[in-house]
Amino acid sequence: MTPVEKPSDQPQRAIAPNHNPNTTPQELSVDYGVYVDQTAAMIGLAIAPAYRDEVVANMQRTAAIAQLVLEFSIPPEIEAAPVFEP
Amino acid sequence: MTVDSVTPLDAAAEAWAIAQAVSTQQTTAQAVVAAALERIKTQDSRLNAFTEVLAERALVDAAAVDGAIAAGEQSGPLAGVPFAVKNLFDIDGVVTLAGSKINRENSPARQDAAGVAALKQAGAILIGALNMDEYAYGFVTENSHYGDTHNPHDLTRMAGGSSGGSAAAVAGGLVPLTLGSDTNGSIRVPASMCGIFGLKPTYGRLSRAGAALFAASFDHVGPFARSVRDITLSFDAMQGYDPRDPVCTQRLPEPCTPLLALGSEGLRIAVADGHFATGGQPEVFAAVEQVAKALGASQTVTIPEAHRARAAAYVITNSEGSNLHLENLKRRPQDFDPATRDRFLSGALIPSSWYVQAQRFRRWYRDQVRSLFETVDLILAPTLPCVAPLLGQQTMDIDGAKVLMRPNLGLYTQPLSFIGLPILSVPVQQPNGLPVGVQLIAAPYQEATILRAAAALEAAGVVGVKRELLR
Repeated sequence: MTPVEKPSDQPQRAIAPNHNPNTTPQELSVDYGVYVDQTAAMIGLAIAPAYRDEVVANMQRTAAIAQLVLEFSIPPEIEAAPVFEP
Repeated sequence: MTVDSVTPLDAAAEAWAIAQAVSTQQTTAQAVVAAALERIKTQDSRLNAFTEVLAERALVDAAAVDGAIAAGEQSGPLAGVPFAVKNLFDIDGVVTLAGSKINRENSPARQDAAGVAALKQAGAILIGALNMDEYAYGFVTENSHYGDTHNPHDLTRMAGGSSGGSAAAVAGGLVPLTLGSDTNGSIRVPASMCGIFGLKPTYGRLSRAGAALFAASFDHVGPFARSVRDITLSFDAMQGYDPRDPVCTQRLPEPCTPLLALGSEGLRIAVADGHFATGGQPEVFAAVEQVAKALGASQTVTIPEAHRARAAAYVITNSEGSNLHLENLKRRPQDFDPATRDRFLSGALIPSSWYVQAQRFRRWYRDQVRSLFETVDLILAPTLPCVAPLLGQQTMDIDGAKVLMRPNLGLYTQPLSFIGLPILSVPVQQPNGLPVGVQLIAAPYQEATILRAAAALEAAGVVGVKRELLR
């Protein structure tokens, strides 16, 4: 098997310096502007310059809110409760 | 004005009393509907609750109800009762706006939403559609396309949202009964601000078919009214399995009206502490205490990790809501209300890990809260951290600190709709102030427990509407 090479253009700031699983996005100093631009492009969503700052600010606020969920350890046997019935 | 002096044509008339008078031919559905239409004509300009009034159709429907009664047919439990619905409910032949400008271009609905059809089946007369936050994403009903809805208690204040028109129309005496939807608090928040009853039933208990979705994981529909009896009658009329809604329960309907007289006797009742006892203004905790005292509740209960539940509800709502509107966000973001646009755009970019983790947390949290109901039957908590804020207000004072107003309105409602518990917001009127809502919360499918306790509180004069508003 050929070893998978790490992409060279990976932004340095997105890599945990010490692989600490409790590291927060803030500690990783995520660039939310870059995140918004890139993920929006990935789903084909053009965000007008007039809206961008507020969208970035919203993303940053949501990240802080999501942190409360992400930092909480959930046992692996806990499955989401879907209602899909085949 | 006493309840006894109210006639079926008055603004203060309750749905059950109208139905009784219409069924026994003491008055006609046509007269009742005409009186409601006149009130809307003369009074809605100050509230801005209605976005569509179906006068002609309502009078035709009323004549049909009167005709059936005159012919000796069995009348429904809501015979001749005028009602209106948040404009995200489909109405046959009417375009479903869901508070948006974008949806104006849609074709008219081809059938009534399940809730509308059920109330009509019970004899009620649909007279219009009501204002809301765009796509239900807000707690304020300050809508840039259709204007702000005003609070009947003080026109400079908000009615709450997102079902703001539904609450204002009932509190202001335009109609005795409306429907709304609640994803994170959108029935309970406006019910609290407008000082009326608002029921968010168990998730899946009432069919959402024909009601525009916001975040399907948490979307509920439910009624607003000025009495427990009216809330219960309408809830009973809408129960029942509907294969058109994939989350609708297959449980048989359990009519609650016959159980109201049982009162709160024998119920184990506790006040929620921790998250639900901090972060609010003093009058909201005083209202909870007042209700607790009247119900003889002296114990407290801790709902664990409620702040995380709120966070998880936020992530799921933001993600699901945005995905629902992604096509329009791509094509025509300029047509969204500025109050929702940036949140929708940002929500479309949420990492899937956040969403999945939030859904798994929901399951964990549900299990924890379920176990609490082994020792209590009813939990009390404030609905809102404050009374109705001024329209346009941005901040509020909590414990001496200024905090942002809009993000905090769902403080006590969001962690509970997150797991679909049935909840009634009951109105406590303050002698010289604005109304305050208290949430009565029960285990899934135990709406009867809530409604029994609410009926006891109403009979004791602890909760109820401000009748002076109903002229």
